[in-house]
Amino acid sequence: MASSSAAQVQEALALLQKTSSTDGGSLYEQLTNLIVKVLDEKPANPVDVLETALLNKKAAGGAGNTEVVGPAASIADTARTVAATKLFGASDVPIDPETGEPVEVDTPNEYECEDILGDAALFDALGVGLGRREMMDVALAVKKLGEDPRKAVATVRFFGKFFGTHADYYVFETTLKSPPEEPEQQPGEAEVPLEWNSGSNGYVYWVSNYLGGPLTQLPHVTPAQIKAARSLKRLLTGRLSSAVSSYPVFPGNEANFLRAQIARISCTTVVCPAGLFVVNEEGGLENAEEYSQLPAREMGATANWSHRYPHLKKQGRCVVHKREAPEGEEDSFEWTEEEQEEGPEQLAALEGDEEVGGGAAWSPLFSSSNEHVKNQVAGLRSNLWPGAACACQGSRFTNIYVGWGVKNAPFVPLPPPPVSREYDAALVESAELPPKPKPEGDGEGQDE
Amino acid sequence: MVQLEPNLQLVLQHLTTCGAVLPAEATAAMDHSIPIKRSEAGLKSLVLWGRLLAHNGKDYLIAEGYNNATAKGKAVSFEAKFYFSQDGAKWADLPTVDADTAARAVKLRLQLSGDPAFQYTVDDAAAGTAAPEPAADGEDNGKYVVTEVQRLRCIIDSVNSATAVQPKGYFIANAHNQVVPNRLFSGLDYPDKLESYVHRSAALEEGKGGGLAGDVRGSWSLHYDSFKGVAVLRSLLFPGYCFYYSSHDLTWGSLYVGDGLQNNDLVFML
Repeated sequence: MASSSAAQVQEALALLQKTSSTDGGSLYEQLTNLIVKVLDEKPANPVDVLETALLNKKAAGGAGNTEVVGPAASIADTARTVAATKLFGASDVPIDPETGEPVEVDTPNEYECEDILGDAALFDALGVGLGRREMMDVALAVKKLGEDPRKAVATVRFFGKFFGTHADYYVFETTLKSPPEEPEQQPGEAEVPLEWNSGSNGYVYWVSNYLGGPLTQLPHVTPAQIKAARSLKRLLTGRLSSAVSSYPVFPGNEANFLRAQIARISCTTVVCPAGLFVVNEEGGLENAEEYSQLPAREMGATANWSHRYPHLKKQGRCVVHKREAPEGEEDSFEWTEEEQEEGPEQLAALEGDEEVGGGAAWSPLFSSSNEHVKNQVAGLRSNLWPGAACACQGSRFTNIYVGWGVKNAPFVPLPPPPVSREYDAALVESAELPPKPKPEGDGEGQDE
Repeated sequence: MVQLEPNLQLVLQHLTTCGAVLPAEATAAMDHSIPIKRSEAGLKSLVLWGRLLAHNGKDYLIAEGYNNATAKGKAVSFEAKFYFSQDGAKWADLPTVDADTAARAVKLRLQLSGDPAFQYTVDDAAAGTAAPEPAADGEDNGKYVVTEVQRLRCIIDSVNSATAVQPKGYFIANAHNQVVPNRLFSGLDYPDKLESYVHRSAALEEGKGGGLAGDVRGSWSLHYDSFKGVAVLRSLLFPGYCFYYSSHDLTWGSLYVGDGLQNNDLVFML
């Protein structure tokens, strides 16, 4: 009797261990794996995972195979996290390996910047910008930029973040202590010259793909680039050397395009509380003597904010460049429409901004849905450049831009240029005989 | 150990860098109001879906909840319920809309007004015979009324149809044809590839079209940090939708912060 039951057991085992031609495993193996897996993981209600575990090929693929090995960490990504770590903590004093004594480092640069963490709290209350955690990295990146003695910046402000399809840009707005001098203008240039160190180029912008990463200075923006950027609607890729557009031709690469978008965004959306600044004699801004803070909720009204940076004209400059009349034509010479544009005055109130999409150009933001909460933060969000926002609480105000760098305006792609005429005269078949070639010598004038 | 539901704090931690930010007061209020609404509505899961920006500044917070999800063959239907709130504390229902109203609402390209009682008028000259909601003057002249609440639901449905991303293999059908989270999910093999992510409605399809890689090329921006093991997906068709997946702790989540309009100029922008 024992031998026949043993034989039955052997037969049963052999059946269970029969490998399947399609799957390659046997029932015995799958059940073993499942039991081992359940005992390893100890899920609550093991019987409920019976179906899912068997259906899930990974579970059936080996008892110890619970861990998934993802792609290995690339050096670039590791370096990025290490660079972010280096933002924090006291800077290490490098030691000369030969002498064992600290190497002299250049003294850190003296610079000015805003209280970025305090500003982050304002944005966090309103629900704009980057979160407070990331603004901590931003504050330290601003410090790193400001302290760099080779860059020698006088003031630093975090402008904002631009998203790109492959990488993002963090943009810092600075003024240099010793701005480079303007190169001599070549007389008779056809192009409108760029504004050197003023107007649309009043600030120098630095970008990096990640906080703690190497900063690249963006070049000055030319009026031609601004006009070309206005006819484009493109996403950034994240690489400054990328080509931008083949039609309409953009004179430059992504670094120039980014700089042009920064110029358009900053001239439109960087704002300050109305009455805080006044225009002084040289045309710059200085603090007004009497400025009374308004109650918190009132800073959600567009009447209480004004544009801080000068207006960017159609020509692509903040101050219009008017050509000099050529000699002898002073009477009949007229400026083009672009050159005659006056634009709004400096520190114009936001109320006067054109409507966007049938509604106001700015939407109010408040930190609380209840009016009577004390110490509120109020601000505005731009509808023209989605992602631009400003916030104010008491005497503190700030601006930021976090977005794709795309304007919220109906986009019509530039139509192709008109077909060029090949001939000045209309193509009409002439009834005259072709002109006879002049006889030049013996044997010539025949049928060459 | 696999998450059963996206955790709002983790979602915010990973996605604020993509601009998915919420006001501090609303985030605090939702800590309390979402569990209350979940138990009131008798739902198994209720998470914040996103924030739709409104013109008057009173943005709509949208929550999505479901009780069970069924699978018919490979098609997954989630029976999701949506709720909206403007302060984070009180949630109101967003009922489903019929196909006609949805077709009309898609034509509206303005930003949401911010007033839940607002009514939009849509010209729909090519309408069918019976008009369910004719204009106030009673004449069937092709002008239809779409309320803001209906428009909200239409926006959410259109965003969900193009997004609603899940990691492949997270949802699985059990013997009762219910779609449940896979308790033994062990992570994605290739989190740096678009094929590893699927739309929720196609969560059970295997190998067909390769998940998000089957979408219009260039409509997704995927960034994978191989050191931290975090993948962040951003939609370019509906800018403002972001999704993260962390292979280190097997968590994922998504959030939409934007005005809800489809980016129709995408083909020019790439």
